[in-house]
Amino acid sequence: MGVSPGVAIASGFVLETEEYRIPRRTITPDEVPTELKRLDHALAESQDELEKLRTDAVDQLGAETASIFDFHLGVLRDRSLIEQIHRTIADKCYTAEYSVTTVLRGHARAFLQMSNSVLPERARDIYDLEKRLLRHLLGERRETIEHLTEDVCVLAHDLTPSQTALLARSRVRGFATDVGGRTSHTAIVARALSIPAVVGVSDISRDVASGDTVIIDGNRGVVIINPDDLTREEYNRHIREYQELEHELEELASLPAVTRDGVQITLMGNIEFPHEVASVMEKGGDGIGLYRTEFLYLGSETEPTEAEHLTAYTEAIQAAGGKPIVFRTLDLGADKWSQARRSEPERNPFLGLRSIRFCLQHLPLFRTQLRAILRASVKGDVRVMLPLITSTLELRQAKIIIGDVMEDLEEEHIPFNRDVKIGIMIETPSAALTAATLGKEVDFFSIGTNDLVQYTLAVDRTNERVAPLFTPAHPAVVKLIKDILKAGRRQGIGVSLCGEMAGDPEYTILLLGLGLRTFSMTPPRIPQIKRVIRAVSLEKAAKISRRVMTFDSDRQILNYLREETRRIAPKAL
Amino acid sequence: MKLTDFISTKAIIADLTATDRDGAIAELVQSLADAGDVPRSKVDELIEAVLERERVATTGMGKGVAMPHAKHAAVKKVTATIGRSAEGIDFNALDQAPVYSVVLLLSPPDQPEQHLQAMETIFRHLQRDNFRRFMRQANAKGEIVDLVQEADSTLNSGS
Repeated sequence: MGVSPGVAIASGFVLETEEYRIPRRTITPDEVPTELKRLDHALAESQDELEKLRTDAVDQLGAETASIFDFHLGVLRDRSLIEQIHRTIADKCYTAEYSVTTVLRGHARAFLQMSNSVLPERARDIYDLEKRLLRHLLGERRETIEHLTEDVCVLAHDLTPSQTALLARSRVRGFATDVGGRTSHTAIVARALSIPAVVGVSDISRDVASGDTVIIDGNRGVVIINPDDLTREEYNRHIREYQELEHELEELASLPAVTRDGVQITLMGNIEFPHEVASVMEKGGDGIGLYRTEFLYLGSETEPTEAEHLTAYTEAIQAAGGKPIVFRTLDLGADKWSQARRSEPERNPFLGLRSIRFCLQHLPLFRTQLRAILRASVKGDVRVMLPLITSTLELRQAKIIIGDVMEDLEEEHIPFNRDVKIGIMIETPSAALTAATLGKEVDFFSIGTNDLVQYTLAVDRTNERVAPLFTPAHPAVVKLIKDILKAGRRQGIGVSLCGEMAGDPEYTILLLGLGLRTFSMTPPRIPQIKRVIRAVSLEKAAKISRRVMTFDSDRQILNYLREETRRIAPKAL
Repeated sequence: MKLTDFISTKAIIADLTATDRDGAIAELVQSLADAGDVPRSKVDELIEAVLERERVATTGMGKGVAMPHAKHAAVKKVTATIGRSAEGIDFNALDQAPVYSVVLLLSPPDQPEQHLQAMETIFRHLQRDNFRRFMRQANAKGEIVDLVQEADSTLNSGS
């Protein structure tokens, strides 16, 4: 599965799982002081190393991503834990290596067993830390991505959070892992860094030997090992064309997104980190149409505080320089973070307590985020977007809570914008079919096609056995989008579309023809979509969309749209 | 949190006399005062606080239910009660549809956590079709009390 677009050709670098086998060795009592000194030295070295990694990560990836190191540092500074290792050395006369391993592994196991309250991810962090300490104790020089002298494609079973963060300052051109998904930590960081990445390629870390030539094609989700000359040449050409295209697209960034018949279209960016606002602006975006706030929750072990929310939001708002930012409230539920917080996993998490439902049943958590968004609302053009609304009941409950939060802020004399615009995601068939009613109570709609397609077609796109059935070109989806746009027009409220469909040039003409005027997408797509917009007139787009409505299969629709797009904007595909 | 942790069963009204929003709210606040849950001397102030909140944004949330509420210093602990109307009350809900069940919630300003927990519990139960339907059908105080107690045991209050 490709999780970050682009193509990289470089020699492979296999990150071993680094299974150290530490024998249980005892020392004589008079060796204890030396052993304790070795331990303290390793602790200090590791701490320095982590501090440095953290500082670099803050610069390159932003504070949230860097916060993964806070946990590591926190463990290293935990007196009781250090004390425990000391005692294991002093009382039982074990070597420092063995003591570190037993104590830390015990700690990691404890984390795994507390799955109810703590992320299982934390156990991985502890193993990560164990490796770091052992490396210092064993005096082994780290042959790692930190010290690379040539460009590489990294292959690993899975990347630990600290390895992923290292990618930023190394010569890694792309990576592939055996496990992982679109929303895994590694995938998110890869996208933020614009490094091509493919995950879920079983056994890739075993199939490649370091030094093999590896092609990572993040666009198609393919990894090619030792390509023949022909393939290699083809990909090289592809990369050159891609670079050429990038240059052309850069020029597009400063041109307006106007159709041939002079209608202005709004193009916005979807982001997960505040520092991505800059890349949206660079690509000529008109604001942030979707700020996914989940990373604040996923990046740290504890629930983010109001101050942490506010810091991130303020950073994003300042970077946007007065352009609108749509904050989507917490959209978690069908994921590790919240599943780990349940006493028993849900059988059907995508139909379970997720997103707005989760928030309405965890009001203190919801309030914390709402307070931060409202406090941020005086700093720029802030809008609130509620995800996964399926009924007016949910919408009104959420609005009651927003009202209460406003009241609290007022009493505390904390400034906020009372007229902040409140909108909803339309991403379920129920919301799409009742859009006319929902529209009376909100300021805007944003169509979330990823979930809308999933729920309309009953297809889990992360399940590779049914993934081919997942397509926004299905006539049912097209019809729902058309109806939502119509409901928005009648109600006089803005409608944007922020799913992946918005960034796919094959659908641009259709969406324009159906009446969409605001597109929000992953920032690198903005210029490409602009190119299509500038090449077509609304009249032509409307004609094409009317034709699409007469087709009865997704194949037919997609083929027709491809053909028309190729004719109108040949370079866009 | 359970419904019975904060719902004053004594103050429940199975048949509201009022037919409009303001009247229903006044009746429920008075009932809480009569039950000894809030001071009688503050009834007018409490009514005004709830109405003020209601005027900013309606708490009629559709499906025939409303949850008027306010925070007020005269309230010592989070307390709520239920009023039912067979005819339906015009609650100025956005959909103009009548409200049949009114859950009135009063909280002290210094217990924001409990206030939210109570709302969460109310939301959770109102989400259920059966709860809304039975509440609307209950025509004696005892039936509503039973319903509340039953609801607590069916839906474990969770985290």
